[in-house]
Amino acid sequence: MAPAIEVKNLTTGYRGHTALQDVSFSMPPGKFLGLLGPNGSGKSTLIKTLIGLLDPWEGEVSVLGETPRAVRRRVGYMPQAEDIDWTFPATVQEVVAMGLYRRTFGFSRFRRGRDEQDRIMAALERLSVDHLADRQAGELSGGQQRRVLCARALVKEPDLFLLDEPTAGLDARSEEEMLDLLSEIAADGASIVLCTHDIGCAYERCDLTLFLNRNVMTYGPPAVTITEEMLNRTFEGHVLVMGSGGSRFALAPHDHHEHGDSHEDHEHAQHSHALHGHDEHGRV
Amino acid sequence: MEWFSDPWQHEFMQRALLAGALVALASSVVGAFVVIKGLAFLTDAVAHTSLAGAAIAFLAGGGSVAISLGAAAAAGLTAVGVSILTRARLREDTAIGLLFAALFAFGILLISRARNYTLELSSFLVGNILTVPTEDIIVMGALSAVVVVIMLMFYREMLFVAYDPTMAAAAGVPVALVQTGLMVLVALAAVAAFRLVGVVLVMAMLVAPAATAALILRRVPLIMLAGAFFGVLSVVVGLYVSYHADVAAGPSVVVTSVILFLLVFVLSPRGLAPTIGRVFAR
Repeated sequence: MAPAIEVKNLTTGYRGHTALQDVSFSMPPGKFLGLLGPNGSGKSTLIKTLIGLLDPWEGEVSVLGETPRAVRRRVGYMPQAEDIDWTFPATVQEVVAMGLYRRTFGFSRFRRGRDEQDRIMAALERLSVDHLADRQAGELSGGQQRRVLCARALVKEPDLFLLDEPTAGLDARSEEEMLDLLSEIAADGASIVLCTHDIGCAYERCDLTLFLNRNVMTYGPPAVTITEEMLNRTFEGHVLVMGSGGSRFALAPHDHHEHGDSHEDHEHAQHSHALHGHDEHGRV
Repeated sequence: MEWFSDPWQHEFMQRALLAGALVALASSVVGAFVVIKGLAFLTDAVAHTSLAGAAIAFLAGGGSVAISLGAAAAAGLTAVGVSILTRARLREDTAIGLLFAALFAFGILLISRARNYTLELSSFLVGNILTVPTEDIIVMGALSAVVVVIMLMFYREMLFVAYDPTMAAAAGVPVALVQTGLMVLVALAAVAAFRLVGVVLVMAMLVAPAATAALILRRVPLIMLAGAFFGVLSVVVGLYVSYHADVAAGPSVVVTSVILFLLVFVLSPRGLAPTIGRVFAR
């Protein structure tokens, strides 16, 4: 079986600005990979390259054994909720139906087929938002909106699932539910790449973690890669590593907000406690 | 009763109604996206730049079909130009503003060569729904049909790209082509409307009915349908007002459509009056 992702000496970026420099790694199929790194470290650039929105300047990228554009139909992508214009008038069903888009011609696709409708409802049920199918997506809570975006990525039953910060801004319970679902999907054999700032979650959930800061800082099982030294190197000292008793935990900055905001700090502390609670070895 | 039936005894009123209904249909289908995606400025610009193409056809001695085709070509090229300039790192409103001013000025400049300069100019600027020749009605019908058919064929792509261009691109939708295509459809609808209400008021035909529909409906296909209803209603009421009050027909259609919008804006469940009511009820 081909690797889920095979990246060799990838260099790319936007309009002359290099965002990724000489990145290489290989991800076996059926794994749950956590992609970690500070703002501007190239996480989103890497994801955009993997879904064929950006071309490599140098190096090679293969996804499920093929070029990113050739495997579009087998790759699900969930963008950051902030990237969506929630004022747009669209029902939850309409949003999820976009995930089933295929290039066809003719008028029949103005209406959805029975099979499509069943798949949409199944995806919504899996995310426990089927009761919201006819509601306006923009009227839902942040957590519900993320579930809808997740359902849209899930509806075509992808073999590789790329998620850009799916849990940012979620409360602890919704976050757990979302991550449980991802673990379930990984257990069913799909490969998952989770872009996150939540080091605790990566430690707890992922089979593999990749620390990115323009290039690969370290890559491997979280128990090996997540060290105080690596956190400091990747986040360039912007991580507070604290010790208490036998365990330690890390506070990492968040992507979309200024740090120093007391609400955000509280959120980070919550994430950190998750790590704290599960870390019996006193390792960060 | 005669007050209602009288106007339709006249052939020019029947033709005006037919032309108005055709234009309202195309305008509402495109107008839904204009309102949702904030393309009003683009709409205004393509309507004005169509003048350049119309002027060239007019000075070359073309008839009304040639004038409409010239207008469609100029408006379509403007849409494509805006799309290209925007992709070359120019802000969209800057790109639109530049092309708008340049081509509109060029259009007036050309018309200033005509013998009846002010007369011709004013017929382009404010249109004349009551004297549309048959050829023009055919052109309007054809333009409207093209706009509606293309929109129906590519509705999924239009919706997907308008909602989430990044994800649409990832799914293999040719995003740049669809975005440019939408702008060209806006241009074609604008040209269909321009012989009716003139370049200055085209924007109202594309924006007002769809905006009225968007106040009460939250699904794109329904906004299109209800927009067509409000558009045709504006044409009918506007023509009555024009006939009985003896005022210009185009502006009276436009004023009607905006009054309809204001009525719905004030009275709809989420409108101004219920909102104020709720605030005071607290």
